[in-house]
Amino acid sequence: MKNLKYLLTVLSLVALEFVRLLSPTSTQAANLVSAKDTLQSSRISWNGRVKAPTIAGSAHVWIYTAAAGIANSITTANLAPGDSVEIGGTNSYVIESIVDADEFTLTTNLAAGDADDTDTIFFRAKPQHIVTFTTASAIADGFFQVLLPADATTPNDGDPDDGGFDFGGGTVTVTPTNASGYNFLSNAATASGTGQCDAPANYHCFEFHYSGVGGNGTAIELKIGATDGSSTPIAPSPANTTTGAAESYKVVIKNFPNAADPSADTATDQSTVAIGLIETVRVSATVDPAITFTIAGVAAAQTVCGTGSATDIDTTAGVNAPVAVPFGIMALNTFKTAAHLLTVSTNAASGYAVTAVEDDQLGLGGAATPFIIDTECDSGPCSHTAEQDWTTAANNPGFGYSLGAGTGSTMEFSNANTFKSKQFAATADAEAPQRIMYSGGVSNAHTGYVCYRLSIDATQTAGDYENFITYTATATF
Amino acid sequence: MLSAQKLRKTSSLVLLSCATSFLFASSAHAQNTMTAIPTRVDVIADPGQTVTAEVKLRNDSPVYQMYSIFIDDFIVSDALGTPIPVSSTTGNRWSLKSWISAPEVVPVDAKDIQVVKLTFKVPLTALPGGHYAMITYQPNPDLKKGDQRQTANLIGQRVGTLLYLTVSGPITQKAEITKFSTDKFIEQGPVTFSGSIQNLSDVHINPKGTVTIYGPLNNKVAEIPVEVGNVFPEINREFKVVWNQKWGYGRYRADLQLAYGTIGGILTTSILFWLFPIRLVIYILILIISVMAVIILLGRRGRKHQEELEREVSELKEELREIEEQK
Repeated sequence: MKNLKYLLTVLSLVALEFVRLLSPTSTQAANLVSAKDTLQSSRISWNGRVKAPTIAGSAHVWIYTAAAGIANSITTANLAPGDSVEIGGTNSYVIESIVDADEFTLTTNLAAGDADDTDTIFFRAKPQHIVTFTTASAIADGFFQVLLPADATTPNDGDPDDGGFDFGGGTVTVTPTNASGYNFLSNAATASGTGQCDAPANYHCFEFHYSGVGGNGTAIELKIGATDGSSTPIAPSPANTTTGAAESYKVVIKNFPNAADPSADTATDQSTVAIGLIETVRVSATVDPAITFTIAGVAAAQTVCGTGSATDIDTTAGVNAPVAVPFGIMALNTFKTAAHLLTVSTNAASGYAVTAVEDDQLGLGGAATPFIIDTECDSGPCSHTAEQDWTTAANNPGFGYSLGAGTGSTMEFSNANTFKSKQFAATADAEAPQRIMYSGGVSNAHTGYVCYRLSIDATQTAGDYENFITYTATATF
Repeated sequence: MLSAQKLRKTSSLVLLSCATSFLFASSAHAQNTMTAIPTRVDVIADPGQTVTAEVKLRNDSPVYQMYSIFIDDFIVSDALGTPIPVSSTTGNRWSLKSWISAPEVVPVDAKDIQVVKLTFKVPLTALPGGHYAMITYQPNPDLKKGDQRQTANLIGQRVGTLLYLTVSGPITQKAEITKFSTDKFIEQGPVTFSGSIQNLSDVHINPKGTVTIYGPLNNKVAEIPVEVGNVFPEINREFKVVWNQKWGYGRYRADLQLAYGTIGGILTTSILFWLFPIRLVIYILILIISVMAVIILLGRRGRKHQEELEREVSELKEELREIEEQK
């Protein structure tokens, strides 16, 4: 008997897992919170050319003041005494002083072969990247990927590029720091366009694989490169730089489950951060504050707004789905119920609010009259500001809505047991939109349901009735 | 009168148009997702000045979409800071809508971002202080009543960015604390303080500061940061602060200090409250008294028993002496 119970339990678990695998739940990519790429230095690189009358045996260097190809650096504005520059492709020199906009001097004389016209001059800025963020989901045994923008043509030749970071022509050191639930095992640094680092194009790929259960809200720190500049990506030397104005680049941070293909699969969580490169001023930018709003349909026979709220109508399919509630043909004195799922994510610290308003009552052919009245509920009257039970269709015709709890959000009114309803505020009646869902802080995929209900009686003129309901999601003030 | 050929051509176009609209309508997907970036834009301008700003719209859907752009004034009328779009600007001292130029419709590729450029043209007669609007985006600009050809609601889905424009000039900056309280007597924490700030300024304020808590011996025991959030002009905004302290042993004082505005405005107030586990102390006292009572009772009982034994021994001794005397 005991063995039979054990066997049944195991079989039930296997069956449940099989069902789960057959119908996997969709997951919503979330933002990694407080994501930043802080640079050790925000200096851009320098890529210029030697110009006559520069001669070997002299420490005085003239530069071209017109760009050619990726040799974009045409003034000495981004150079400084003490900088180590490579001239002529091999030898390094130290700048002693800046003479003017197109001349500088070195601490040692130029060697033969380093003073020829159009010889290259490189200053390689190699800032270590410290990527920090807070995880949004617990992904066990997964990996993080950081994508650093790369040049499209020469991303790994060891020279400064105009379109992005250069991989440096060798290897890049990557150093993650272990955190609770994240025990880093192996890392990989791959130059853009090599190996599997080809999608998205023009990004260097850095992967940080970990073991552990992961965690939601765990602070992660990943380092790319070293503080001494060895094995570190080379900062770009962009065209048309303006002294004092930052050049912005986008760094992408992703969190994948184990065995995912980062070049093809969608990350579970990801964020894009901006970094600014500028002379002498250290710049690090945070994730753009954003608010994301989703409306999804709800299938028929779902009870999402309390007892008796089972939906009759599928809003996931059909004309204009999911932004329509197709009541279709109505029977007299009979409810028809439909629902939508609203989802809001925002990193705004003050939270968000969703308001709702209808343009007018359901009008015949969308016109103002005749119309189906907004519900007055059972014991009535409910209004656009006060909810009441609405459980009996006969003798209580009209159109109204109820709310159902989701996750994370606060719904404007509770619907624990009955189909409590309100009218939609109507613009035609100069009624202000009403809040239906909100939160006072950062939200990650907060959800809530809106249920629509319609009942008509024998006095209603035959025809198709329509109106327009608008949901607006913004951050709170 | 239309010729037969024209009629056929017109009919064909109508049929093609119907088929196309049906095709596009039917290709709708099960959910619409879009993102407004950033959540707020704060701009400062002089009367008569024209300034620009950029906001972004991300189409998180898997298909290309066209989005209608709406600019609406908004007001805040509740203590939680809910922006309520208003369609009429009449008498709205905080109105911004009519100063903003923006495109009416923008296309956005699937999973892509579109930058929307805004131009704020501030009139010379603009009142100094805050002016507020929101830019919202709505997919399916061609969606209109009558499309469904059945009884139905059409849903407009909008997400947006709040726009704050402050017109420079003589701006009143004034605020007051209208509430700062907690329960007078608390047996155990955490202690939650509720407060609200009334903004009496011509512009929104963002009060920030601390609640400093002093113990029964007037020693500082905690300092908790407070961020009220933006407070719309002439509106009250509520906030909560939690002190995660479980046990206390007397009367405490909480000092609220908030800085606001750009001219160094400070708001301060203090409250007193008790944090003392009175029931726990009473239970412990009752337990101690009970134990002592039991000990005393047991002691008394023991002494009484001893006395009885001694009395019995005395009686037996007396009886024994009487028996010996009879012998």
